Amino acid sequence: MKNDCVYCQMIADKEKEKIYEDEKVVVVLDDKPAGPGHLLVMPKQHYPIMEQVPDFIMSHAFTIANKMSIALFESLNAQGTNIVVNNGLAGGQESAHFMINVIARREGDGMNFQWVPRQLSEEEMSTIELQMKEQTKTIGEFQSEKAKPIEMETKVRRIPAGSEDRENYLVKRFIKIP
Amino acid sequence: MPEITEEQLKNMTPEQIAEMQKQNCIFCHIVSGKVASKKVYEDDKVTVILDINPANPGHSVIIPKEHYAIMPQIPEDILGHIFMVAKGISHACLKAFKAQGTNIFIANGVVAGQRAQHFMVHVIPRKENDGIKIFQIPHKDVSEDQLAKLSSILKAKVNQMMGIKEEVLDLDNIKKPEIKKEEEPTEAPEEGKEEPQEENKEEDVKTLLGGKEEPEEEKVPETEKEEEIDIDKIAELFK
Ligand SMILES: [Zn+2]
Ligand SMILES: [Zn+2]
Repeated sequence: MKNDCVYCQMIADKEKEKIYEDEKVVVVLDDKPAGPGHLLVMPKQHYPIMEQVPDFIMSHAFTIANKMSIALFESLNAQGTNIVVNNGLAGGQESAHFMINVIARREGDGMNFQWVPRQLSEEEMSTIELQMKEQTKTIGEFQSEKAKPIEMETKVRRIPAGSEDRENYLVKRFIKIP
Repeated sequence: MPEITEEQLKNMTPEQIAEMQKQNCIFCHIVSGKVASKKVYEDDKVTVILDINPANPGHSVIIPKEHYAIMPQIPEDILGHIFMVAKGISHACLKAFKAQGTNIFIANGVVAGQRAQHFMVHVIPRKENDGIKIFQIPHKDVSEDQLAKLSSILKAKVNQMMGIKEEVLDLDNIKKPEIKKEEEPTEAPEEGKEEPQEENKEEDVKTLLGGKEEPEEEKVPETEKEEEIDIDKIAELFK
């Protein structure tokens, strides 16, 4: 828990009304919502951005986000839902505690998440494709949760051949003993 | 695609209907390779391609290989996998384009902007001053009363869902927005069920909540510095 994080404080606050809570995540209503039915799904632990959230927390948090979306459909007559993450300041993130927005949508609610498509040439798209492919090579060995996790500072995950990136530094911090 | 009469449709098994949907789905064809695309990642469960109408260069979409029209249909292990991949794709965007942030975006339902009948997750690289404003989520002031009301409705629903897990994934219930539950053995949540009053809610959006903290104000202390890595820099921007 970060003492100066309002969301960490909220999570720890027994008085604060939680819509859902388990050992990994907490769901609260946004008290300045986009509209009626705006939920925030947050890991209990403080991670500023998504890249720092362990894989098994990611999968769990979004599984809960899906359930919250269903709850909005079923209990508040939502006609649609949006699930939005603002990751990083440039991504529009407003507080340093990673969270998932789950927002109920209704006809004529005045919200608009539709972007204006950029015109990119075939050549530009091909370049982008190659740049992305280069960086996605290391995706694939996901961190899973173990029953009794023990924090290890030094243990390093096996890195797929050909990737000497320093990106796996996070793993050093968060990896659990198999 | 041959014409199908309503009579034929009625006699089709769910498997046959699913097969028919797949044959008509461009994203299923992209997954199978019948339709060309720019694939940037693939594993046994998902295909990730560049969006042909990108919000920014590098805008990618994660497509489950199986055909799921809506998110609640997706089995939990696949759903979990999709978002572990989403994190990886986001990270790849940061590195490939020196992006300073990303957006994850999902539209469930036409009203929310869902265009295809195949579920997908958007990952959009972001840079400062890239001109994209639409992911800035609006904030409205609502009364404590209204929040309390929403809270009790949602909490009752969520408690019920988490208690009786099988009920939750009943697709027929999800598709129709009306809360028409046949008698359920659950007691408390159903009892105090209030009819959501959308009109009132929209008009109620006036009262300012006094004394609430502004999330914008908050600061993050220095995280442990390891190597200087873009992620840490991005995470530290909140200071
Ligand atoms: Zn926090
Ligand atoms: Zn499909």
